[in-house]
Amino acid sequence: MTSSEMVVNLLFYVFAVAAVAGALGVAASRNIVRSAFALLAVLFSAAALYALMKADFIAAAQVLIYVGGILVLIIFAVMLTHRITDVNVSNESTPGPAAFCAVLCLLFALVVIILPLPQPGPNKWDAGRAPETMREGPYAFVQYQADGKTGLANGGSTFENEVVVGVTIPEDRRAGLLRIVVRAVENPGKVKESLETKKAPDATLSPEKVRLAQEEARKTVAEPKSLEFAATPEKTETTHVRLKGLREAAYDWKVKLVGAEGESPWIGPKGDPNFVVHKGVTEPIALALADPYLLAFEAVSMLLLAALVGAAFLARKEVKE
Amino acid sequence: MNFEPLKLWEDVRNGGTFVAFLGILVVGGALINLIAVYAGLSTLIERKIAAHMQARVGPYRVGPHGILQWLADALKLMIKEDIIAKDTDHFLFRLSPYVVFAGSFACWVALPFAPGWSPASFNIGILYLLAVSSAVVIGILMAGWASGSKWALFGAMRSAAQIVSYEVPIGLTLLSMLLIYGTLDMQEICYAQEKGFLWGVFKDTNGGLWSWGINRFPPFTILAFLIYYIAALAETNRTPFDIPEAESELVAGYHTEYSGMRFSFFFLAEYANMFVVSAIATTFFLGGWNPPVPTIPSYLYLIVGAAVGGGFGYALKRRGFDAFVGSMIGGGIGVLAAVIHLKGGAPGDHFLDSDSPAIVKFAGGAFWFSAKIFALLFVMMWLRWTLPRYRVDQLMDLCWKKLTPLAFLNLLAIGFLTMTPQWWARISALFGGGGPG
Repeated sequence: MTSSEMVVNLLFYVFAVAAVAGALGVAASRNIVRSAFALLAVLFSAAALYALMKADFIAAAQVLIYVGGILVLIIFAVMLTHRITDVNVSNESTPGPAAFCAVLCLLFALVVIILPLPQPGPNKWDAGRAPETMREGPYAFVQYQADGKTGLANGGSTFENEVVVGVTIPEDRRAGLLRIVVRAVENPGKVKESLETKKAPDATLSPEKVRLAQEEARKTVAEPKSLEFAATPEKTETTHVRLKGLREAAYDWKVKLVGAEGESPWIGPKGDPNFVVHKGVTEPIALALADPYLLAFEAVSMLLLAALVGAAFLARKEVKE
Repeated sequence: MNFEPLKLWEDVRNGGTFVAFLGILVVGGALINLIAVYAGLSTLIERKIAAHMQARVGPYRVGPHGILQWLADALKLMIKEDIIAKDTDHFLFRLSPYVVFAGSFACWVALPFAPGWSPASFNIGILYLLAVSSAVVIGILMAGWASGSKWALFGAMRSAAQIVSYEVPIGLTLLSMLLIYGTLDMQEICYAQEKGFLWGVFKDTNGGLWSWGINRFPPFTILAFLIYYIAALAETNRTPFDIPEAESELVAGYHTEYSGMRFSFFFLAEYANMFVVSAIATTFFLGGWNPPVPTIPSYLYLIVGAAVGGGFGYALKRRGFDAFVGSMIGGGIGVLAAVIHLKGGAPGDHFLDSDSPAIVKFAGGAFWFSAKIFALLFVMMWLRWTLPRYRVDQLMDLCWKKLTPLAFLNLLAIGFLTMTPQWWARISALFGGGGPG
């Protein structure tokens, strides 16, 4: 575990504990205004957890809607109720064991909905792809995602700032090999291009507009950077070279073999191997939420319904006999 | 060397170094100090403006012309007694100043201070800003309720109602500008205002002032700016919308019961918020860090800078200032112009050119960005001593019956104008022509 993984893990536990503690505070506090403010801790911690999972957009939307809108509304409503402290929020007409069973059933229903959902499989964002081998003469090349196992298609997208390139060299060419160098060159203009082709082709996109978009992309990637990464050959046929510290851009790469007596020219498979590094994961998350997880996402709204019913119960006027 | 946008948070999240994590703490600490100094100076500026508008001299004792008054104020606030009344909800009472301050402080990290230079780079920029600023409302409600005082509670309720209402026109005007830019990233919005001209003609020309967002589709974008600015005044509880802290009705509003350091946190947050709304206005409408002058040879800037500086110094001397102050200010303007464009070379050179030294880019960008913000802040302070306060019902009337419908119509108009090239292409395709696109 690297030091920064430790930092991220530590942050995760801090926010997870804060979220659970806030939720307990919401449920256990005898003062409903304090409950409403404890909800603030829950919502902010949940947003922080989203941000740790690189889902910036969801985190911002969560805070914007739940803190800026719903929580303010709840606090307003709660402050207008006639009794704020010492409210008894339990419902005496339902016995405790029955309520417990009802909660268990609800939990079970949620689990039943969520568990059989399809796991993210091969899709246009290349998650979970099998490795794809590219050949050039006696050599073979494979692009992997940062984990070094998941394949990365030629021209595919990655959301990490690392990519692994596997270079397979036949036995007879490995004698006296000292280093394998991979040079990744930023290809400005390809980012926007790749995004455009992934969307449905727009008939109204004039050549002028395309040129402007490419110019925009070129400006974002101010100066094309060329990065070189070297690895010593491994005992096995295939050597993995890790390309680190990539910024948001499209990259083309080539390989060079450095031996004791000289270097080979830059070699690479046909069709220019390349990949695109993206900064945010907004689009894949949107696709996942709208496609395989739609039912689970909508089921969460039952929680809001329960909260609304509870608020209505608290706010109603007590009828004295 | 070129400034990379700071991507410390991205680094940490992507498994970068521990140093990046420490870097976040350092940048955060530096920003807090920046906010404190800025807020102190703005209180001084506000008091000076107030005084001069009422034919007084204002603070004059601490330092020459009273320019160190803000340090004395800060020291006084720090050593004052921290009073917590008996009927308060102690925990929430202590917590709320920090929630309010955190809400406005968190906004600062996404501001585009100079080309490619923000404390943190977000691709969701403005969405993040709108989201975290909602903590301010919660903090104000918390303060008002926890104080256990009717004045504080009334102030908090008024403030929250006002902020939530005025977020609607703010969101709509920002949305209409986002239609033009097509990005949420604050830096990219600034880049988008580097080139272009009225109604999108001369796409590749740097038109200075005429490339800014406010001049993109003139009557509508100017209207959007005015709606945003009025709503921003209400959002920050500034006069003429300061009913949450109306002195004549509510003592001091939601922070009536606070004293000492806790009070000064509310104070800091208010000024930090004014800066943030002005910075958003600057980024969306006034070109961000883009200078107001188009690309012309650098030496012209030197000549113009020296001439303006000299003229200003002479004018000050005529007004009775001593010659030293006049020449210092005039010379300062000349030197500043020289520093910002300290780069010879071909005509058309500009500090925004990609081969400019990083320090020139940073200094030039930061200068124009903060100059525009301070101009907007000056107008806020000016209005405070010019306009009387609105009534609660008038305030809601203005928001829901005037600004919001106007912002909706404006959104439609700007949306229509941004779509015209596509429609034109479609129409000309119908008749078999290529069309200008």
